Amino acid sequence: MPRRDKEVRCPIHGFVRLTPFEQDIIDHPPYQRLRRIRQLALTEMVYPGATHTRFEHSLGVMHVASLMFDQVRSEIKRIGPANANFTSDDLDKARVMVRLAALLHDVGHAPFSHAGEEVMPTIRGQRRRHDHEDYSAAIIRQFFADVIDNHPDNVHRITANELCEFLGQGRPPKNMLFWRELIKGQMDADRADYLLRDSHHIGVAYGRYDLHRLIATLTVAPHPETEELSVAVEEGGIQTVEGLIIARYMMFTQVYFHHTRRAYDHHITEVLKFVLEQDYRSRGEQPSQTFLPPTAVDENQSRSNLERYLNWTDPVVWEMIDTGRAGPHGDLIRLRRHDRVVARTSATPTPKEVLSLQKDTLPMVADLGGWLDLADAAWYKFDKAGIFVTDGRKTYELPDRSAVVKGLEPVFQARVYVPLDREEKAKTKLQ
Amino acid sequence: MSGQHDAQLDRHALIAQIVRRFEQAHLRLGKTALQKIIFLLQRSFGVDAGYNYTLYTYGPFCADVARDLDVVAAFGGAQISYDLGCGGYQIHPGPANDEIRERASAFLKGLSDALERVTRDFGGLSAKDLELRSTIVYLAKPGMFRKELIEQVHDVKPHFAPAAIAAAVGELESKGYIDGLLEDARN
Repeated sequence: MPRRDKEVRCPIHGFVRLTPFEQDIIDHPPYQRLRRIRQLALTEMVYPGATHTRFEHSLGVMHVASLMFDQVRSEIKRIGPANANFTSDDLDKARVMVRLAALLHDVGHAPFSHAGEEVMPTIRGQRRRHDHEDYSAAIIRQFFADVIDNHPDNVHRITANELCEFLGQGRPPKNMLFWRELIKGQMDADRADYLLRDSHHIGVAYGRYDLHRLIATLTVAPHPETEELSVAVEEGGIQTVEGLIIARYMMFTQVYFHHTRRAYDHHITEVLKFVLEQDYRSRGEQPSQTFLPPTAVDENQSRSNLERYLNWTDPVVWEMIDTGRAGPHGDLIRLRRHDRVVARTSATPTPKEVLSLQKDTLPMVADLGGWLDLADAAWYKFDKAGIFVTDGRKTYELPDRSAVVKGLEPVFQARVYVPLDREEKAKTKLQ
Repeated sequence: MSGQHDAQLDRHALIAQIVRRFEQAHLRLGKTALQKIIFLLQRSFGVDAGYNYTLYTYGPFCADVARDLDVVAAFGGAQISYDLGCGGYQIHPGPANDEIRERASAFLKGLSDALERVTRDFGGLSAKDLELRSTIVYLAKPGMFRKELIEQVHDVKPHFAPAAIAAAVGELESKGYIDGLLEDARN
């Protein structure tokens, strides 16, 4: 007897429908691990409701991505743009691909989500660190290939490898590139979901906007400079997108870059460095403060690296914090004695202001354990580029049609922190 | 944390430097062109600005570049305007352009030859032409058959005729931006 779709309840979207194919992916242990990775790391130290996980977010992203896909597909049918060469089979396959990509896009997150990215190793010969997307791709290839490639319901013969390529690791399969916008664009399903979900759990109204109106105004239009087919918003939807951008701006300034939250990001990063180093030592290996890389020359080594990586979850680290085995920063977290801000720039400073904080202020408190935090290094960056608006004849970037968005300055605030017991001393020094 | 800040200063200075170089050469610089120029500097000359590019229908794109351009503009290093006549963006140096570049003079010194090459080879091209060429560079790998590369680019950009793609591939090979392509024995 054929298996049935299931529906799971979601606090944001009501019900999220799952096909048997998707159910089998979700039931896979590396996917279930997402139940043990909190979406917002230690934000709960400021906003106690922020205990939601990457698991529920990923289901939400899949739901939103489907809504976006269906709207854009109907617009392609309605407008029939000359450069949209999709067959009906392409579109059916793309819908499955978009849903699976949305479902799996966060499967590579480290404990404490983005805070854990600070302890990912740098890519050999480059300045850039690996990020959770690199781990997601490697985990999908190593652990999901069987459940995806050989699933009896996989009628479009989508492979785990194609899925990784679609998620951004190379060249996606034919006629799939256009749909990447829904998963990895400036107005993608990921952002559309996390703003609403984070707001809901935290208990703030900043992140709310009209998702259904936003989806209803999605369409397709030529890129303003290259004329390539792109996802855009109808002119009548400008106010809705303004709502989304302002929601993101408010969430960034009020939640993601909250001064206490950022202090805990710093502390948990230091905890991860400590516990990783201890772990290497306990295995008799060369100590390091980073995770093992997601890929190695040898396939078995890659798999072994990832198996070890997947064993790290929030509760594993919390258990070390609770039992005093997570180093001095673990103790600070357990006792809630986080570092305090003693100097900061304005929210939109001049380059001189930022430099002065780094070169003049920071050295004055360096001996007290002072450290610098930059908003720009925050993971939920606020940006407004790359959202297109069309009046049916021409395509524009959003800031050119919206004075509200145009007026939003990028946030680039910097802050200097010191340990709590040296706060007064530091303040005296800086007077 | 300081290393992160230095990397940011380098990135902002890189953007300010490209804006200034294009202005000096009387070349039009739009947002797409800036994206592709930085991509080519990283990919073809090993300039390590730490940007991670993803391929989209409009070619390689990095959201961090777009965001850093906004920051540089807010700092006064660049001025971005929409040109209704040309139907696109134009980026010009702003009053703090020199100041932003001076913060990372050592980094900029190390890439001056590469920037000269890229400006000379791609500065006069339209956004569309740059998009095609940067997509070819993104997809090209040594040991790949020429025909395979042209097919892959055509899959991504079906509105470019295979002959136009082949011509752009040849041009990029002659200028040294891609190499190691194999001739298909079946041709």
